[in-house]
Amino acid sequence: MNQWIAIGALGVMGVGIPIAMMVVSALLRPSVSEQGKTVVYESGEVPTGTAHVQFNIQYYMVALLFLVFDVETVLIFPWTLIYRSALEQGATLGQVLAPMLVFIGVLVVGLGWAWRNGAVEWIKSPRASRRKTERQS
Amino acid sequence: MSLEESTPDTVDTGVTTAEEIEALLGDLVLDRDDHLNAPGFVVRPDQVQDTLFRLRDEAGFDHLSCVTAQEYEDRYESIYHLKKYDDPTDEVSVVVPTPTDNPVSESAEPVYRTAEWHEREAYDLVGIDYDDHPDLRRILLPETWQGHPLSRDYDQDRPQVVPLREHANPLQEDHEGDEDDTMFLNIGPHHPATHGVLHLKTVLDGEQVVDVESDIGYLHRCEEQICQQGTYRYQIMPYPDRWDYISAGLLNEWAYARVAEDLADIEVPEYAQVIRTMGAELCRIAAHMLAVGTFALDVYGDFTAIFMYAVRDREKVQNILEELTGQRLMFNYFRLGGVVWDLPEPREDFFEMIRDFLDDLPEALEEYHDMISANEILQVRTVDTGVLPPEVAKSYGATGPVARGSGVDYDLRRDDPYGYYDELDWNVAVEDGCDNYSRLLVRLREVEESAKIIEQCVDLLEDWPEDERTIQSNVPRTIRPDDDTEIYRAVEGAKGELGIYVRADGTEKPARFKIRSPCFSNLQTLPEMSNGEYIPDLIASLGSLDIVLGEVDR
Amino acid sequence: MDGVFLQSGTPTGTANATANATANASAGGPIATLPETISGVLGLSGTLGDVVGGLLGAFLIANIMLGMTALAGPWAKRKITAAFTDRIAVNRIGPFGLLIIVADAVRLLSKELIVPEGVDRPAWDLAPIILPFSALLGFAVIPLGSGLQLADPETGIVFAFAAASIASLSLVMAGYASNNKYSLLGALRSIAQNLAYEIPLVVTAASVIIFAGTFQTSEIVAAQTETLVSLGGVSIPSWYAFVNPFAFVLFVAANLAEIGRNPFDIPEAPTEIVAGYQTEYSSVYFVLFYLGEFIHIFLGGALIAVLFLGGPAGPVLPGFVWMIIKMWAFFLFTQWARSAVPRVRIDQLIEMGWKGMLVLSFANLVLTAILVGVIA
Repeated sequence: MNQWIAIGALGVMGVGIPIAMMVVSALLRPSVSEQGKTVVYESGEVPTGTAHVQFNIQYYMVALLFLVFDVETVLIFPWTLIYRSALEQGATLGQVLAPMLVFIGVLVVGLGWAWRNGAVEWIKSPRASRRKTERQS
Repeated sequence: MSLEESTPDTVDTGVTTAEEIEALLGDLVLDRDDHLNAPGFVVRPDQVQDTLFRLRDEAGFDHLSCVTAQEYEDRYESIYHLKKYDDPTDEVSVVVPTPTDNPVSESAEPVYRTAEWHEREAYDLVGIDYDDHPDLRRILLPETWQGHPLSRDYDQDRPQVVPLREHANPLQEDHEGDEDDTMFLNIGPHHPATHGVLHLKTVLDGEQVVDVESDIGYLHRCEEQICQQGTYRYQIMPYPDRWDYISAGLLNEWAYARVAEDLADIEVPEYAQVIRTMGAELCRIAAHMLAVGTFALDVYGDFTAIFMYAVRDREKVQNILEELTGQRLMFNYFRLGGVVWDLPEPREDFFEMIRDFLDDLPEALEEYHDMISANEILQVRTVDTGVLPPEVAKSYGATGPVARGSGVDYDLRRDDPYGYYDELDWNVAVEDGCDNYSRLLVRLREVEESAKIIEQCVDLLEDWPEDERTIQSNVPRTIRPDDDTEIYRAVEGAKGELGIYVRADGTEKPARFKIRSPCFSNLQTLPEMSNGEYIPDLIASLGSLDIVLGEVDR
Repeated sequence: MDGVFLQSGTPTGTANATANATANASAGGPIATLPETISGVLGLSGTLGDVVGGLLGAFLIANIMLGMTALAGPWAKRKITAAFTDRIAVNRIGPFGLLIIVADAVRLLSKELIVPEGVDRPAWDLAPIILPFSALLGFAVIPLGSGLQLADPETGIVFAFAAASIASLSLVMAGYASNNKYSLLGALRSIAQNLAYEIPLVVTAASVIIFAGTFQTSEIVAAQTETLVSLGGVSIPSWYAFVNPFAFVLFVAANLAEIGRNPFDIPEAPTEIVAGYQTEYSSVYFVLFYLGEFIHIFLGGALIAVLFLGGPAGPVLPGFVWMIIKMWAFFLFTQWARSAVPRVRIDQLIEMGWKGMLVLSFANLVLTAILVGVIA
């Protein structure tokens, strides 16, 4: 358990050092209240609206796939851990390798299917694509 | 007045002589108003489109080079300077007078897309209204400006207050009922990649650009008016350096020298022409080096070795130009009828300096090709992005590397020869990829061609007999061209066709001085390149256009 | 501050000495972690010893990282970039311009903190803390050599990945809370980037675990000390970079994306979205982002060193020095890439990640498993 005390201690340092720097900075830095500079930066123009808009996330499908694959890496990890020692203790390849190959195979098939359906791509905005100038051949 | 040279290779452009054009236009022509460079035809303000359509489709005038607007005592006048991409010496001017009390004229925008901005500028500065124009707003001055600065009744001394306001999302009403929203984003004027104070009003849908509109004028200094207040002989020449200030100074000076020399009928000694040619090409190399460097900067990230390499090579050119002209940025080296002084003494050292640079250049270019054009990631980023098809490029009046990157074989140095170019052996670099990559390649290849030209000039200058080194012809101290002579002349600047229109009124100062800036027309193509593309490609396209805001805004 | 320094000063020297003694004979046997060494020296035991030893050890590790960042950020980065671009860079203050570190630290900390209108306050303030926190936390399990390892839990390497991934949260918080459109784009890009590289990175690491058979970082390092081949009396250790160079290349590439350096500095992309998620940050908040990014680069280097380059192992010099050299080598590599490689587009990164790297990393995993199975 004491391992995690040390890790926790580093976590404390990881928060403490930034806060200490903030305190030092608060003591050093000036504060000149002037309205103009609190405007959000948008290349020197007055911003139109806020940045909190409903926005087109063009990798939405990829994000969903990511969840699947991320969970699957969690399942792969324990297998990698015991793989070699299991072999050394006499397990056959069929016992330790084949199930994982099947598992990864299923995933790869899934990836292939998503690939074919265009899900692992940046989803093009139809609104933008409509306005594109195409090359005349 | 008319230009009889017809090129044999242009099949569809049979009409070249003034008489033939007059016959083609028939009763559309009210009168003749010839300019020194081209026949001019006066047409009614409501028949502009008919006239231009006929000239474009039946006579092959596919290049609206410039639109000049001016106010006379009794009328307004818009002049459309037309050319052919196949043969720019084949020119015609369409003159459209409009009454002072009702200055409304038909827009040329349906015929030539480039007219959109040119007419907006005419409206902004002179005050002519264009019917049927898609979007007649001010372009260089702020939206709230009062009066038109180049009109006769404008009060120069009146103070004006310009408010800073929010810009509206032009597509806001388009997505009523849509689930997601577009985002209006100002890119520039203070942005790392706008190469100056350019403001892009972009509308984004995710990472993609739905709509982009350039907002220019932040660097507007009314250069045209400044030139109208200077005398032909001495006072105008320093200003061209300040249009395209990215070391293209001598190229700009040549634009004014060419127009004024043709206007006042001044001969330039051959020796001076060779020096001019050499100096201009040095400037072109310097300008292209910076263009390549900043383009790499836009694509690579915040700091790339290529930018510094490009600046290093540009520095060598700058040193040569400093030796030649005494200046590094604002050269002011050309004079009407020649150049201000001869090559620096000792000449051998100067030639050696140039030769050293030319000897190192192939190696440097090889390095650029290794680091930029051969880089796979750069190719993935630039090939097939920012596509500008040749027909679109022509319609927008794109010239220079932008047009040549779209496969439009157009270079005034070859097609409308001036200086010493037609005596030398060089090629026009043309790439037909139409994308950001092609424009980059064109610039890199043009540097090679410029180096060839410089080398030949140095050879010529070295062997030039000492008693024939005339640097200036005999030019009168004051130049007073005849009243009402008009001329439009262009040279190949670093960014494309840099033209100047001058109307003389019998005094020693021009009555109207209009600058046709290549960047102005080239920048207009940005929406065509960038709509539907990703933000990084918008930035790359902007970099590949290589605009200088000093020249766009003038 | 000074007091603490003095306190920790003494145990450090001893810790190094003791660790050096044990480090060489380390293969196989468990090494004392830094807190254990410290509490042993102080004569403390039990929970008190754990806490005191842990805090002092953590303080030491954190300060090593701070020191390296201080050297890297204001000085080394400039010098390296300058070397690539034919310039000289900082050389005015102190020898080789080194004192610019002090000057810059004071300058940056004493800048005014500007809070823009409409920022989402707690999130906006927390983001700059989380980034260095996450990067620093990853170092808890990294064996820095010479006994400088804070903790050696059985889940070591997995913990390091988990800790490093928290950084994305910070970027998203910063980007979304800033109420700035460039920041929003940067935040969205950073998520997309995370989606693109995370799985290839982890799966490639899994292929190393197949060899090592353990998550414990010290064991992974120990497993790499065996001799791979002997060439003329010089024995080449079985570093996994030599054993499986393909996985090494894949991991380095994915790691560049994880730490957001060229060609994958997409969330910042200065020429496109100004500074991405950190556009609205000034003063100490900006420093914290900067600090966090650099510690993150070093963490990336440390992970590469532990998984593929034998950790702190190396001839002649002590282990700690070798570890530092390896981390700085990776830092140099990132700066090299920064000067020479164009940035890819975010949609291209997604496709690279899913159609290229993911497929390759699975191929690598399966092939490694088969090879290990057949050979073993």
